[in-house]
Order: sequence, then structure tokens, then C-alpha cells
Amino acid sequence: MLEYMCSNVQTALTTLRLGSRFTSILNDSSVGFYARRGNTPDPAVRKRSAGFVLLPGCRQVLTVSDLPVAVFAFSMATTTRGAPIPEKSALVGNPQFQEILKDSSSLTHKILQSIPGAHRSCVNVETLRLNSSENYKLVTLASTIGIPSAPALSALSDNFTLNTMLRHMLEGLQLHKDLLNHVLPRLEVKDMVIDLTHDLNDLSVQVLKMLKLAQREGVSKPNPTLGLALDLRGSYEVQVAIHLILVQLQGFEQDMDRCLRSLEQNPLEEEAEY
Amino acid sequence: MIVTWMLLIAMLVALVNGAWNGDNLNRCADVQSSSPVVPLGSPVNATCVVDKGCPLFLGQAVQLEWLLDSEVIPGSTEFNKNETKSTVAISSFNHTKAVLTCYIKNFDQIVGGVQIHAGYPPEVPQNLSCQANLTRPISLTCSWDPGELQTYLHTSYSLHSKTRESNYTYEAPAGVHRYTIPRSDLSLFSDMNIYVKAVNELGQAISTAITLEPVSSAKLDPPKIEWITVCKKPGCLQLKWILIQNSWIHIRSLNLEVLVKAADSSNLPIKQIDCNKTKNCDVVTLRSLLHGTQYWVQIRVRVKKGPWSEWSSSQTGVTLESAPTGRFDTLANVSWYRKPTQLNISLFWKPSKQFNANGQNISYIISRSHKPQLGILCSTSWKYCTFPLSSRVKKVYLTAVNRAGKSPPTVIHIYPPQDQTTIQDVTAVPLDNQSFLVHWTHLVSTDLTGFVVEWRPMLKENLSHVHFEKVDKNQTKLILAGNFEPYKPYRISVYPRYKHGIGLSHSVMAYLRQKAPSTVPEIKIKNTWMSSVELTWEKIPLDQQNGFIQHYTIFYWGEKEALKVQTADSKTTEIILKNLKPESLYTAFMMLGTFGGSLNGSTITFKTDHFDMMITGSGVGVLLIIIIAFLAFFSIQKSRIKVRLWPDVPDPANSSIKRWPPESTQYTRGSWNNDEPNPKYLSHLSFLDLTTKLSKEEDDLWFNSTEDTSDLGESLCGSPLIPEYTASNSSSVPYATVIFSAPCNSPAPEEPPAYLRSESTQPLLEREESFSPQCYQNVVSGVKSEQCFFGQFQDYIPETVDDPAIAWDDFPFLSALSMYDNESD
Repeated sequence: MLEYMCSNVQTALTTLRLGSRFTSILNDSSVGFYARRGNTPDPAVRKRSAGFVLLPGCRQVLTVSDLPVAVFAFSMATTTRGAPIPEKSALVGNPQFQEILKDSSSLTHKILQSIPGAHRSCVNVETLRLNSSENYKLVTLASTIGIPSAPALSALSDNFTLNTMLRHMLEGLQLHKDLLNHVLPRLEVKDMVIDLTHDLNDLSVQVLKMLKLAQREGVSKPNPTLGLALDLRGSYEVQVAIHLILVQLQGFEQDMDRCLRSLEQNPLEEEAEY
Repeated sequence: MIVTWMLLIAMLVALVNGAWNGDNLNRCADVQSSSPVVPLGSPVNATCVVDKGCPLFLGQAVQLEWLLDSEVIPGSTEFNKNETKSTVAISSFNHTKAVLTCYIKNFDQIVGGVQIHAGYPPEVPQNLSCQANLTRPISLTCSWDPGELQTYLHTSYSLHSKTRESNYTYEAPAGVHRYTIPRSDLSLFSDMNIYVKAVNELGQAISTAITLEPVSSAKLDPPKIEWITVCKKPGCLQLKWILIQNSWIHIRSLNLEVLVKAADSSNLPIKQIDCNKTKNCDVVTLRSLLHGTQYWVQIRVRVKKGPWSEWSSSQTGVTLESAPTGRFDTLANVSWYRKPTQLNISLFWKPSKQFNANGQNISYIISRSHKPQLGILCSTSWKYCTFPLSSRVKKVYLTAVNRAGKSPPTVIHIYPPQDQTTIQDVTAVPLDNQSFLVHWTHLVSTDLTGFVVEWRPMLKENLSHVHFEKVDKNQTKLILAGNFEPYKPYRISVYPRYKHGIGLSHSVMAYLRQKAPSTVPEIKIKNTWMSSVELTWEKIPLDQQNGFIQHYTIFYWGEKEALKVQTADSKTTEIILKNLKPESLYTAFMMLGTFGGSLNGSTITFKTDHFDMMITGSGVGVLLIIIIAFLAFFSIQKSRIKVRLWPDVPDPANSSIKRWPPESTQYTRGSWNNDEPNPKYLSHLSFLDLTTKLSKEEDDLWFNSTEDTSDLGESLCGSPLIPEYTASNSSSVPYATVIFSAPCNSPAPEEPPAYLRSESTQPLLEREESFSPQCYQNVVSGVKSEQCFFGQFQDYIPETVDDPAIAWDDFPFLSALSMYDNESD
């Protein structure tokens, strides 16, 4: 059980590291945990670590300040493995919801597959790499440019209902769509980023459909993000901005993918037979 | 007329002046039609009003006319004080575009007009369909069919899409009946309501709307089978597949179709798999397959209910082997090898419907025992075997073997050959260009248990191509379905099956399809006559016939002659073309035909003879026979006459010392005969013993009594008919007398004998004329020209010989005497 807990936490934290809490993670030195088992730990994170907590049953060292994040990560990891959730049974059984869920999942995968290509097409600064460990160095610049963080996505709970999850998804999608549209006029190569905005738009439509099924009333198209103003003085800022947006979007989409998968209902048949 | 022209010029000048002066001139005439665009064939009305203000206004004097393009059409004109109004009504406007003009004939001026278009309202666009392209740039292309009817008017088509979020309208370019909606206007997983609107000046038409989800309308690229693996259980394969291009599509949104093809090319039913109902749709398990069998697998996918992708490239897998199961159908052709102890068996077999090879490398064992390893008669991988067998053996066993094991043995009963048959007639006709319908008739037999129909390609010697089918005794026809090749001959045999063996077969040859032969025999000229020619050829090989040869057709024609045709049946290889012109050049070629076509051969030319050798030859022959007969008759008659008129006197010239018998007179052979060297022909030879005293007297007697020598001397050689001789002395015959100085039986005298020559006037018999001995030839040594005494010397080339001793040989008579001496000795 402890081993299971440990691996789930590790998975969840790894995926969240550049995800919805991108900005806070990069700004908050408290998130200084790394996994000693597995891949090389993030030196940036390690550098900022103040103290370490060893989780019983696993060879992972967490800082004390990591605990809230770790708890969230664990709870999310467990829920994605099919733990009972309050609203899930009622809605997940709905075939229409499941159908939309599949389409949303398809679009999420499409976006995740498109991000590396879009990044390559518009980011020409070699040091700005999508999955680089140096990305923490851009926290200040991200703040300067004014890139807001994405809404947090977590596992379903009493405090984080399906409606909340879907709304956060919708807000996050709208935020990234708005961010991309802000940067888009300043980009030299736009095609793939435009495609990305279309995919985000489509995914918003699907999430909205789910939200309508879940909420039935008072659901409307998300409004453009208020107060969004990016300070893009030079081309470098533009490069950093699109880079950070894509990094944050990738994390957000990964979170979305996990959330969506947690809502999927497994089919009865184990394998396809001829 | 001049006045009119002057008036017109004045008007025009006034008009021009008015324009230059900036006067606001009214239009001279106002032409109005009911509609500038009308349905084709509909009525059109138009009015032309010439105002009083027009310089060409003439009141009632005006002659207003209507022109449709350049054709004058009648109108009606009304007059009042201020204007002249003309109206025209076209009951059916049959031009798609025409100009209707108002014309004042007085001034030869067109004062106004309208252009009228006619056509049809658009048809409702049909067959609207859309297909998304999911590779970058993503788009949705919709196309439609504008309809068969041509509108003759500019018709615009607009595509309308409606989603929950927004509506779009797109104008298709003129003449293009498709439109590609860009990605920006698409919602990939949202239903779109799409329709086409066609609009022209006569109306509009809206197609039936379709609702689709762009992703579901996409035809995906074919998936890829990553691997096929064998399951642990026999008869099972597993495959893993992926989407290469659009892997982002949720696998549970896909439907899958699996096509499994066995190694023998038989397709198993296509199985459709709904991935929405399976957890791991990317791994497909294929069950209930044959054991140890190679399978080829292909898959294709679609999104939800969208169009299927193309089939993937096939991947192969082999299921686990197990021992063969089931039995065989067999055909044992038995013949005597050494009667009555040894049989020769040709055994053919094929798997029964229940048989499963359950393996790939299968072989067969024929044995005397039901245990295959005992008494093996034959071990082969073919489905036939020929082997000798003792006639005491009544059963053999056939077992199939693969790497996993052996099948249960199939018992084959061996019966001695049967000489009887009940099959009367067999016919085989092609059916659907794929199979043969074989029909046979038979006599009633109580022993009959059924029939065996056997077929084999005649051009393939290998017995592995032999196929057979056993049928019930009540059945008299069978459809042979196999891989029959067209244009190839097949031999189809029907055997009667009796309780104790198989009887004699009845066979026919059959073609599935026929076509013209591949080649035509080369015509050769065998004989040529004055009015006919005999042509010959060789039959073409069976593999080039391509069907049953019907007949050989010879087309031939001569100079300035019509084409003639002559045919020969398929069994013959020669033909005689008759009624030809003598010494004429003819051209001919052969056409060889089957029931499926014919082919012409190369042409040959020949020339008929000037005269008929046969006729001439036979004529000459007949003539010769007549001459010979006549001569024979004449000679018989003549000899009779001669016998009557002249007594038969021996011919001295035809006499020989060796061949004295009377028949020598009939000797007709030539005188030059090397087999009988130095022949001497004597008519008569007498030996007289003269004393030495008398020798002188005799000499005198000879010289003095030349008148009467017929009883003393005989002619030596030659013929009295020798030309030189007869010319000089035609009525006398030469004679010679030789006088030796010693008796006949005494040794050769030292002195050479003397001889006397004389001539006789007695006529010789006519039959002596039948031959003319030539000059005597001295084979031993050369002769002088003087040696030719009585015969004709032709080829002999004389040599100069100085030896006086040869003088004996100068005279055949003397030579004969010499021979006589030798014999006496």
C-alpha cells in the first residue's frame, strides 16, 4: 500500500510540476521535492529545497512545504485509479456524457501532440525548450510579462466537484486560447498556433457540452479572460511568452487528460476478439 | 427618298447640336419588356414608346418594327397625340439570350431595345456529401451534383453550415460544385448541419441538409498492423495495430474490421469490432483458426459511422500445429503389371471436407499396414503416388503426417482391374467460363455403385494436376469447378465404380474458352500441275491450338482472278486446288479457325505449270507403248517374212569361239565387255592339216580362188553394215584364211602363219544388223589403227607399237587360234 501510495504521489507530482501550478511551483520554493528513484531530479528544485521528509514505504524525499501539493497529488492519483466519487456514478453512466468524454479526450490528445510542433514552429530561441529543466529561470519573466497561471485541476472530491472541474477546464482552455491569441499577432509563423487555438476552441465546446449535461442550467460560453494584458516589449519577450504559454498549456492539458480519463467508464469486454 | 434622307440628316444635326449645347434631351424611345430574364419558352411582351419629343417622331406616318436579334417580328402600333406606342408579344421565347429592338423603318434607325435572357430555375442540388481531411491543414470538403438540367443562366451555389455555435455561408466559385470549409469554421466533434443553395434569376433551390460530425466524416489513413503473434493455444493469433496519422483519435471512437485470409486464399468472414465495447481494442485476438495454418490478416478502421479506411497492408502469422485430422477421398487406378501376381497402382487422393492438415509441411505415407511405419509403399508430399503391388494385397493405408503427428489412416481397398464399362457417352460443356458441366450416359448394371469423374490438363504431364470427384450412381452430371484455364485443353474421364473395382473410363477433351489459334501451319507446295496444285501442311501443336480446330480454309487467287476459298477438314493435312489457269501466278494463305476465332497465316505464291507433266508423261508413255508394240509387231511380222524369203544363215560376225551354241546368234550385248576380256566372235572355224608341201599351193589357191571361199573361210568379225565398209563394198563379206606352217597340235611354229583375206558376196542375214560389234580390242596390249578390220572404231586411241610379235594379236581370228592352241595344250 505504501509502495502504491509512493508511486502515485510521484506520478502525480511529476505531472503537476509543469502543469496547472506552473507559476506557483516556479515561484514557490516550498515545492522542492524530487524523486530519488527514477529519473534525475530537477536540480532547480533540489537547489531550493529547505528540508526533506521521507515518506514511509518509499524512497522519496519531500520538503515539509511540499506536503500540501503532495497530498493533492496523491488524492488525484488515487481518484484516477477509480476511487468512488460522489457525482461520478450518476453522470459517468450517461452514454452521451461518455461520448463527449471520448471526443474531449481525443482533442486533448490532439492538443498535446500539436504543442511540440507549434513550439518548434514559433520559438526560435534555442534555450527555450519545451521540456527543459531550465524553465524555472523564467518565472520572473513570466510574471513580468503577465502570464496568469492556469486554473487548478484536481481529482473529484467533495470540495472539487465535477462542475468545478469542468468549469476550471473551461476557464483554463479559454485562458490559453486568449493568451495564444494575444501573442499570435507578434509571431512570424502562426499556422500551427492558430490550429492550436482552433483545437482549444473545439475542446471548449466539448467541455461546455459536458458542463451542460452536468449543470443543465446557467451554462454559457466562457467569456474572454478579463484583464489579460501581456507586456511584450521585444521579440525576446514574445518568444518567452509563447514558450511559457505552451509549457503551461502542455501541463494543463496533461491534467485535463488525467481528469477526463478518471471519468471514463471502462467497457465490459477485456479484449477485442475475432 | 432624298427628302427622307435630308430630313434624317437634319434631325441628326439637331440632335448633335442639342448634345453639344448641353440640352437635356429625352430618350427618343423607351423600350420595356415584361422581364429581362424569363423562363425558356415562356411568353415575352415588350413595348416601345416613341415620344413626341423624338426628332424621329412621325405620328401615324411612322413605321415601327420589332427585331429579335436580326429577325423581324410583328408588333402592333398605337398612335396618339404625344406618342407612338408599339407592342410586341412573343408567345414562346426560345432563345437563351436575345436582343429585342425597336426599329423605325422610315429612318432605318434602332431607337431602343432590351436584352432578354431565358433559361430555367436551378434544380435542387443532389448528392451533397462532405468528407473531412484530418491531416494538416484540416478541412471539410463538400461536393454536390447540380443536376442534369442546364439552366442557361448564371447560377450561383452557396454552401451553408450551421453548428450550435455559429453559422457560415460560403459561395462556391462559378462552375465549381464543391467547397472546402477551412479549419477555423469547423468544430471537429460537433454536428454540423450542411446544405447547398442554388440561386439564379429565375429562382432558388435548396438541397437536402446533411448532418455530420467532421471527424466522423473523415476517411482515415489505413492503420498499421505492428505485429502478429501466436497465442499459447492452437488455432489462435493476436495482432496489435496502431493509427499512424491520427493517433490522437480516441481508440474507443473507432470501429475495426478484420479480414483474415487462409493460406489457400480462402477468406474468412470479415469481422467487425466496435472498439467502444472493448477495453484493449488495439490488440485483437483471432480465435477458432485452423491449427498450423498460415493466415494473412488485414484491418481497416473508421471513426464511428464514418467511411472505412483502405485496408492495411497484410501481415501473416502461423497458428500452432497439431496432428492432422480427418480422412481422404481416394481414387485407385489399378492395372496389371505382371498378371496375375503384380499390380500397378496409381493412387490419387484429396482431403475430405472433414480433413484438417493442422500443419504446413504435410506429407503422406501409403503403407500395407495401418501403422504407417510398417510396410511403407510410398512416402510423398504430393497427393498421388504410383507403385507396384502384389495382387494378394487387398488393402493399403494412407496417412497424413506433419511435425506434430499423424492422422488416422484412410483404408483403400485394392481391386483387380475391371475390363468392363457401362459408360456410353460423355459430354463436357463450359459453364459460366469458369467450370465444366459434365454429362454422361450409362448402361444399367447391378454392380454399379457410382462414378468417378477425373479431369486433368492435357498440357501438363505431372500427375499432380489430376483431379477427381466421386459421385453417386444416380447422378449423371457434375459441375467441375476448379482453376480451369481458358484456351487450354482438358481431358475429362468418367469411370464406372463397381462393387469390386473401377471399370474402363470414357474420356472427352474440352476447352473452357476458345480463341483463335496461336499459329497457322506453313503451307508447302507438294505438287504443281497445269491446272491444279497440291498443298500440304503439318498440324500445329496442341498448346497452340487454343480450341478445337474446325477446318483449314485456303484462300487463293490468281492475277485478275476473284478470290476462291477451299476448306479441308481438321483431320487432313493436304488439299488440292483445282481449276487453276496454266502458267499463272497464284497467291494463297491459310485461315485456321477454332470455335473461338480464326487466324490467317502467311501468304505463299505458286505458279502452275506450262504443260501438264502427268498428262504429257502419260501421253508420251502411251505413245511409246504404241511404238514399241508396233515395232514388236512389225519385227515379228518381218522375221516371218524373212524366214520365208531368206533361209536362216548363221552370222559369222556374231560367232564366238567360246560361245558357239546357236543361241549366240541372239547375243545382243555390246562388244565392249570387260568381264569377258578379249572376246572373239567367229562365225565358223575349220582346222585343216596341210602338209608343208601343200602350203605353197594352198597359198596360191587362196590367192587365186577368191571367188569360191564360202565353204572354207568364215567371217571373222565386224559387220557388213559398217559404214565405211559398206560404202566401199556393200555386197561382199570379208573372210580370212590362216595357214600355219605346222600341224594344229604341234608347238607354235617358228614362222608366223600367213593369212588370206577374202570377201564373200553372199548376203548376210538381216538379224545380224541388230548389233554391230565394234573393233576388236586387244586388252593385253595396244593396237594399231589397222587392227580395226571389220568393226567401227570409235573411242580407241591408237598407240604406236613397234613390236612385230604383236602381229598375232592384230587379228582376233589369230588370237582365237592361239587360245585354241592353249586349250589343246
